[in-house]
Amino acid sequence: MSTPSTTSAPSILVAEDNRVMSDVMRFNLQNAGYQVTVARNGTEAWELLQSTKFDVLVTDYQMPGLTGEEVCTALRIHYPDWHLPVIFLSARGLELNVDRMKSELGIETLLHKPFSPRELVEAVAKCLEKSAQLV
Amino acid sequence: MQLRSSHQPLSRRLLSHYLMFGLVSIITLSLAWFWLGHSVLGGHPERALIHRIHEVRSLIVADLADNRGVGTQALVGLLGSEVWVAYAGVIDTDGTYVAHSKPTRVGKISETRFDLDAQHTVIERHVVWQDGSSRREYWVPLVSGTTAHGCLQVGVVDDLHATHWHRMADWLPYAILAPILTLGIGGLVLQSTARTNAAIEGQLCAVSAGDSPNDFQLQPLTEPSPAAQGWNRLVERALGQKSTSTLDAKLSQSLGSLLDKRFERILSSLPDGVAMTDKEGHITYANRALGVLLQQSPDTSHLRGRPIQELFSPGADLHRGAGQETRPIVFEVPLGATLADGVLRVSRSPVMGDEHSSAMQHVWTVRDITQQKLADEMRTQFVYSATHELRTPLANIKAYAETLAVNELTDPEQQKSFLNTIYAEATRLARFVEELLNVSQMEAGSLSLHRTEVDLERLLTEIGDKVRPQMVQKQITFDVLLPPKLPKIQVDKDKFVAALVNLLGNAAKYTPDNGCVTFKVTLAAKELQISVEDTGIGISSDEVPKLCTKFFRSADDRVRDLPGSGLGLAFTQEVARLHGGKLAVHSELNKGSQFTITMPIA
Repeated sequence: MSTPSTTSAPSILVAEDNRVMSDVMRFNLQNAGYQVTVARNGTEAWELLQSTKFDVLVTDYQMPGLTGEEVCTALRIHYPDWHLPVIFLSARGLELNVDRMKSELGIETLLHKPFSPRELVEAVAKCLEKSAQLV
Repeated sequence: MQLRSSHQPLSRRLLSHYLMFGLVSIITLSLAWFWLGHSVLGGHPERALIHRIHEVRSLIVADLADNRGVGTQALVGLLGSEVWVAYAGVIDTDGTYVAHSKPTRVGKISETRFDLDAQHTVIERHVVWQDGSSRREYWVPLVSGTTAHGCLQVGVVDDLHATHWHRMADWLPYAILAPILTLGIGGLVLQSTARTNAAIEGQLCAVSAGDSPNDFQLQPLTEPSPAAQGWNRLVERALGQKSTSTLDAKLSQSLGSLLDKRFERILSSLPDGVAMTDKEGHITYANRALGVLLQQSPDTSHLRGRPIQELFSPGADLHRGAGQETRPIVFEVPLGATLADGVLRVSRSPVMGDEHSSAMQHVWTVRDITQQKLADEMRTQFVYSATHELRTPLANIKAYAETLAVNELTDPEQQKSFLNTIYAEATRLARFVEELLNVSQMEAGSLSLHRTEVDLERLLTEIGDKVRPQMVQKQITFDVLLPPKLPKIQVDKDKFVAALVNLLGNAAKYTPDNGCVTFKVTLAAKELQISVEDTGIGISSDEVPKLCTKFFRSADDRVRDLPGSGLGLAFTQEVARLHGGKLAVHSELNKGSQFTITMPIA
C-alpha cells in the first residue's frame, strides 16, 4: 500500500456512479487543492481502498456493485485501525438511520442530494482537520 | 257447502242460517193455517160425499155390466171404509143384497126398498129404525144403458161436519210440529257452526284471564273444520317453541326462518368471505367466497364443524385476541412467502346481541387484499424511485450552477461544458416531470391523442438517432431494420416517439455492455409491427404479466440498481392502446426480451 507523501496534497477517493456528479465533485475538490481519485462503483472503490491510502472517502449510498454502506462495512472490518473519515452522499431521506451509521460505520458527515459543492469541500476540510488533531 | 261456507265470515253464516230457518218455519206455519182455514171455511162435506158416491156407483155399474158383479163386494167394502160412511150396500132388482160393507148381510133381503127410476140420480132419505135411532141414507140407482141392476144404498154417519173436523185435527200436530222441528234443526245447525269459534274463544278467554303472560295451556280441537285445523297448527307451533318462551322470541324465530333464506342468498353473493364460529371456534357457517378465497371449491359444506384456525396456513396468529373475545380484531394473513402469493385481511367481530354470555360466537370476514398490498408496495417503490429520479438531476444542476457561480472559470470550454451539463440535466428532469404528467393523466383517464400525419420513415430514423448515444455508451450493437418503403400515418407524434424511446431506452438500460439491440419494423396489409429485441437481463415469467402495471419494478437486483419510475411500460402500453394497437412482451430471464407494438394503419 503506497502512502501519499506528507508534503503532497491530501488525497480523496470519490465513489460515485453518476459521471456528471463525480465530474463536478472532482472539479471542486481539485479546485480546493486536493488530489482526487474517482471510482465508478462500490466494487472499484473497495479495490482502490485496498491498494491506496486515502485521507478521506466521499461515497454515494446507492451504487451498482457494492453500496456505500457495504464499502464502509468492509473497510471497518478489514482495516479496524484505519480511521478513514467517510463523507456519505445520499439521495435518500429519512429512511437512512443516520445515528446508527455514524456510530457503527464511523461516518463523519451525511450530505443529502442535492448538496452544495462548497458544503462538500468544507466537510472534507473538517475531516482532514480532525484527522490531523488525532495524529 | 262446507268449502263455500268456510269462505264466509262467521257472522254472515250465522245470520243466513238464522234467516233461512226462521223463514222456513214461518212459511210452514202459514201454509198449514192457510190450508186449515181454507178447508174449514170452504168445506161442503155433503157435496163431496155425493161426488164420491157417484164415483163408486159408476165403478159398480161397470162391474155389474161387464163382470157380472165379481168386484162389486170389494167396491162396496171400499166405500164402507170411508170415515163418514156407516154402511153401504148394493140391492138388486129383487130387493136382495148382492154386496154389503157388512158381508153377513149379503144375500139377505133389504128391509127398505126403493124402486128407483133410471132418471133418478140420488135420493136422500131419513130412515128411522125400530129401536128409535135414525140414520140418513143416500139411494142411487144402478143403471147401465137401459138395464137396471138395482140400487146402491149408503148410510151416512150422523155428523158429517164433526167428521171433517176430526180429520183436520189429525193434521194439526203436523202443522204445529213442522215449524218447531225446523226451528229446532236450525238451532242445532247454528250451534254446530259456532262450536269451533266458541271453543277457540273459550281458550283465548282463559289465556287472557291467566296470571302469567308466558304460561298458558292451549288445547288442539277435534272438529274437522278448516278453522279448527288452523288453530291446531297454531297450537302445535306454539307448543313446539316452548324453549323460546317470550312472544318476541317466537315472532323473531318465525320471521327468522323466512329471512334465513334471504340472508343466505345475500351472504353467498358477497365477494368477501364470511364465516360464523361457535363458542369453541368451530365453523358453523361459511359462505361461497370464503371457500374460493382459501383456494378450495365454492362448496363450503365440508368447512362446517372444523376449527377456524385450520383454514389459514400454520402460523397465522389467530390467538391475538385471546382473552379479549368481546373486542373486534383485524389481522393480515399471508398465503405464501411473497406478497404475490396472496394476503388476506381477516377481521373477527363478536356476534351482536351476544354480549352477556362469557364465551362468544364470532363472525369472521375475510377479504383478499393482495392487489391492494401490491399497489401499496408499488406506490412506495415509486415514491422511492421518483425521489431518486428527481434528486439526481436536481443535485447535478445545483452543483454545476453553484460551481459556475462561485468559481471564476477561466476556461471558456469548461464553462460551456458545465452549462451543457446543466442543460442536459434540466432536460432529464423535464422528461421525468412529463412522464409523471402522462401517468397522472393515465390515472385520471384523460390521456388523449392529437393525431397528425407523420412520415413514418423519418420518425423512426429520428427515434433511432435519439437513443443511439445510450447504445454507443455501452458498446451495444444497435440494428435498425426498416422496410424499404414506409407510409405516412396518423399518430400522436410526441406520445408515439415517447413510447418507442421508452422501449429502446429500456433495452439499452437493461442490456449489459457489448450486447445487442434490434429495432425492427415490419409492414403487413393494414398493420404496423414495431419490435424492440435485446440480449438483456430478461424478465422472469412470473413478472411478465405485471410488467405494464403502473409503478411496477422487477424484484431483480440488476433492475433495482438502476433508476426507474416503473411508469415507462405502462405509458407505452397505454399509447399503443390509444392508437388501437397492443403491446406484447416475450422474455426469457438472462437471455433477453422482445417488446412488440402492433397497431393498425388507416
